[in-house]
Amino acid sequence: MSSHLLSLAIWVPIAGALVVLATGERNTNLSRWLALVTAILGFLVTLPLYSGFDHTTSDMQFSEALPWIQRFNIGYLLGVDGISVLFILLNSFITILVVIAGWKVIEEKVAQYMAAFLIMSGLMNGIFSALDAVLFYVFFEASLIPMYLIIGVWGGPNRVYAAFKFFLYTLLGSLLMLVALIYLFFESGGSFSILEWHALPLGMTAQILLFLAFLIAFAVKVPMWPVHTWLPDAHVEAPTGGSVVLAAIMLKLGAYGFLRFSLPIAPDASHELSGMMITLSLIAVVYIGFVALVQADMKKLVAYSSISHMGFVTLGFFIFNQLGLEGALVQMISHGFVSAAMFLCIGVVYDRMHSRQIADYGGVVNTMPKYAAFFMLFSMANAGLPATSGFVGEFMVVLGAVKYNFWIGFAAATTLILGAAYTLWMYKRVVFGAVANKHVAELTDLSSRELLVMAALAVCVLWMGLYPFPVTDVMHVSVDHLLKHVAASKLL
Amino acid sequence: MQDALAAPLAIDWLLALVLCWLLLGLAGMVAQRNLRYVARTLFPLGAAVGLAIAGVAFAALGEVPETVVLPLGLPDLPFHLRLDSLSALFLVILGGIAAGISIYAAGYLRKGEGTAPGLQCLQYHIFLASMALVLLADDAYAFMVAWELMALSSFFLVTSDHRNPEIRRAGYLYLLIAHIGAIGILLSFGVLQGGNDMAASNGVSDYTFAHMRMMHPDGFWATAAFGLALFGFGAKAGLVPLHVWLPEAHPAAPSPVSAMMSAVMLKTAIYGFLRVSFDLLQTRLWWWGVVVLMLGLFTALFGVIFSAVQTDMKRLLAYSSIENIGLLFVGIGLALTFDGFDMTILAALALTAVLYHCLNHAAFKSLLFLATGAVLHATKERSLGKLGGLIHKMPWVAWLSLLGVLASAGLPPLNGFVSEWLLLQSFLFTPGLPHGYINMLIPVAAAAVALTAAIAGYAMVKFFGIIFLGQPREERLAEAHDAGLLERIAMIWLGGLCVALGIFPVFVIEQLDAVTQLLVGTGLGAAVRSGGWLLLAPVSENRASYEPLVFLLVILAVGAATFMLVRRFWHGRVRITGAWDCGWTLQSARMQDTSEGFGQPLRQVFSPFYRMTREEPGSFDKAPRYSIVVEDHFWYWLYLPVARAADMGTRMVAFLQQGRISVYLLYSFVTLIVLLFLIRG
Repeated sequence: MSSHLLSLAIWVPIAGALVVLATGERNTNLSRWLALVTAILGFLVTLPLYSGFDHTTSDMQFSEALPWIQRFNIGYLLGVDGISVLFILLNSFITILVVIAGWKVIEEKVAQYMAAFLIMSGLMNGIFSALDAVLFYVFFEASLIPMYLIIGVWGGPNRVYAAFKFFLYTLLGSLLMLVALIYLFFESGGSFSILEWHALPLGMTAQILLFLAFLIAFAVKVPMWPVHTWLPDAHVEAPTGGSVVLAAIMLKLGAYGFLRFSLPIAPDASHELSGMMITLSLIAVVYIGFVALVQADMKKLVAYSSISHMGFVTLGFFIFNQLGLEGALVQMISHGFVSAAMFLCIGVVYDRMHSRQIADYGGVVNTMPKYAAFFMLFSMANAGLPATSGFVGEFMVVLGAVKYNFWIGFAAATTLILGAAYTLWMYKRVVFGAVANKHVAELTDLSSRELLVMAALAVCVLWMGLYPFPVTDVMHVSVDHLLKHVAASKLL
Repeated sequence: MQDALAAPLAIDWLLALVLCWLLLGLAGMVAQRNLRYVARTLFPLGAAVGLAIAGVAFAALGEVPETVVLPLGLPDLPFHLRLDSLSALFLVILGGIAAGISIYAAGYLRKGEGTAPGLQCLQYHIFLASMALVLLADDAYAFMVAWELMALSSFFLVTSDHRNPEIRRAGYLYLLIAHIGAIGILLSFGVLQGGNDMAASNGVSDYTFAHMRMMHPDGFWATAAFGLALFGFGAKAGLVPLHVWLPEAHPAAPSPVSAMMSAVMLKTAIYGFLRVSFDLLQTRLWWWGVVVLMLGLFTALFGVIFSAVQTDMKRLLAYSSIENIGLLFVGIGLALTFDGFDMTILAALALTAVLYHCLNHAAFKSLLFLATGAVLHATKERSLGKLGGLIHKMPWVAWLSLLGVLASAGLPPLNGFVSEWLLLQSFLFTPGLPHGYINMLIPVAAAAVALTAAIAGYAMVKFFGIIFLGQPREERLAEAHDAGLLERIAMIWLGGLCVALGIFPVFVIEQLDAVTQLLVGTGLGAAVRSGGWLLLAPVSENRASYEPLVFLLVILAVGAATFMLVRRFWHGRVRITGAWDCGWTLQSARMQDTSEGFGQPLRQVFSPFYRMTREEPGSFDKAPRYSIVVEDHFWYWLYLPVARAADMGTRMVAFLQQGRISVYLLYSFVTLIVLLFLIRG
């Protein structure tokens, strides 16, 4: 099937971004509208990916293949399966929200701000659809640049430090991945096709070294404990939109990397090292849960809660069953919506009060009832309470973990309490009670623009919580295929 | 589904009715602040739906179980629902009690009290619907969704007056413990689905209850599943030491919600525990029964002695609910023990007592909570120390709560007596247990149950006496008014249930027969039927028996005769004289027994149980004040240490979390080295 949908998904936002840049700083409103139109267009071109998706096969669909650097057999290979297609949709959807959320708040360098997000959106679509390792690597590294700029230019007072730390961590991680890619190139007899690598038999030592090389790259991105520390700083300093994209999409890149590279290329090593991965995941969930509990800064709290939730995702990957893996994917999508919503919620009050300290708030419900209702819904989703998307993913991962080993399931389940504790405690302190001070008394409720963004996310969160079939149905066959692939040994 | 369309099954009707509840809730959002519409229209409709649910469920008692699968839920695990006799019985409780409470709420809702009426209407009806779904759920996912939804909706109802910091604290504590309990239940299902071999997986469909019924876990895993279920459902039911949320959350909630939580929500925990231990678990060990019995006994005693010293009327009732939950667990423990020794008819007797008490407690506790609501509205006062003499101003509420008080104290001919009597009856058979120590020790427990019943009577005398009898302790009580018409109707309905359940035990036990048949394979139906509908002889006629109607007639006759005799021979001969006063001509409200004073003997006797802080006036105080605060040791022994440990843990973690890149790079490096080392080994 020849279609150019994936190319469109990648290049429409980037082309739009260039147009936005070209409008310059003279007419900020024009830049905003152009950015919005581009973002919506970018989302619309991804919709046929879902509607035309064949749920019955695990093969790559909407494939495109063009030669690129023929000397090294590098190609422009694109394609999606049931795992990656969802993230392209999520990414394009979140981009629209980010553009709307930054409408009034960003007053300086509007065109550049919008363009940075659009370019990033296109690059990340590229990461999710690349089937050539070099292409993947290029997109993977290139996506760092707009994020670096977003934090460094539009961030908070300590932005340069945070941007630097972000860049340093992720770059160091991906260098080892590059080594692994070159090794695989030679090992496979001169191919950079990821699908060919999946079928490549490898010895145990080679698999373990490859697994570790990929692990370092992806673990930083996820981020897994103990290489998570760049994330809270990056989140705190990033503008709201930056935090949203960082939490909703960028963190998923690492997890996606596990599914595309580590598990299928080194299945025996994955099994061998699964104990370590599960341990790291559980440590992330427990340790980070405790860290989140003491945070006084709302954004830091949500940042830590993201790490903890991603711990659930990696846990779901390495228990190697359908429930766990599908649960982890649902958790990833759900976390995309929920963390985006949480950061937007914090952004809403930050724009009004210019404080992220929990102690500065209290009784917000009295002045912002609509806001309080949305914030409540998203907090509940973050805590994994039912009827929200957060519940479905966590529930599936815990059930899957119980199937793998009761005690791992036990440990995972007990940590759910921490999630509920820190999120609801923050909500209680910020929203409930009598009006805390005169600044809170002067707050105004959501504007219609903010309401639109919140409502869109609320619909997603509830829809996935009540009726997750449309999501799980798409991934089902691909997950099944992946599990079968990982279960078979590839040893030489 | 085709057949279902042809002739709707009972379960289809029930689902439709549950949907009606949800729609009524949503309808409340249309005009949130329109009290006339929300309270006078939607809540009575909700009551009608409740009655219909009770009716359909009642008809389904003893019928063949019905199942239905909804296209909602997880992939490969859509919602499975099932209606059998056990769920039907609890649906009868839910529907019947909800009918009363909804009518009451129709008259009770006021403007400006916390959340807008329309929103409360939504939360309330979601609460009802989620309880119904808990009872119908037939797979782990549907059960957990309904269970958490129930916790969540009731949390919102509890915190409807969130401007009060105490209520916020109570709500948070409630939600947290509910969440912890839910995780226990979830893990219990996790063990149940796997049996011994967790890895032998058929996928998600293992999480249906039908699959769990086919598993035969060995002793260790069965005990694990049972222990987790006991923990999870115990946390919801308020089993000591997981009870701390209950005396906080019940007083914080609006009265109809307290009534609903105490009367029905706690019963869903009993339902879940019965479902897991008697239906899903195919392996049962007799000693579980002894553990449950002991926990239940301790809970009952603990609850009742705390109930007797409370000075807040709703807290008093909350502790009394803990006591009743304890009694229910005592009965379940006995049933498990008997069942473990294959003495099924005795297990059926104990279970009948449990199920009967569920019905009874639901009826009288909701009645009493509604009464406190009426008192609260009339006086704006919850503290017993500031009430008194309300029987003159609020005769309807007073006389109707007298019914509830008598039932709660376990006095014949009301319903509380029957179930406690059945429970004590089952104790009388424990000497037959083929186990030396157990058959000696368990009868001792019967004495403790009797003590509990006695102190419960004491607490109820205090509740009724201090609120309604004597003289008003505050001036403004003179402005108190009786409950409105709708509130009265609701209380008459619940009071009527207390009387009916007390007078017709044979009929009730015949209905319970279907449930015990399902759980332990036998029932008391045949035995009680042979005695005729008048005489209740649960095991055989030459053992103990009880004739409630005769009892009622004798009581009425004795009462009437006394009244006549006193009037005939005593009245008219009363001399009114001012001779020496003796304090009798001047009797002020301050001379009455206070609620603290009433509890004093118990505080003395059971002082090790309480954590008391007294403030006593010295000899030269100009304005002497006496105060006593009675608290729960568990809060200090169990919960605060946990909270402190968590706090310390976070502090230590915060220390590691320095925020400097160099330190983190060191951490990362060390971790890598360790990992590489581990991989080598």
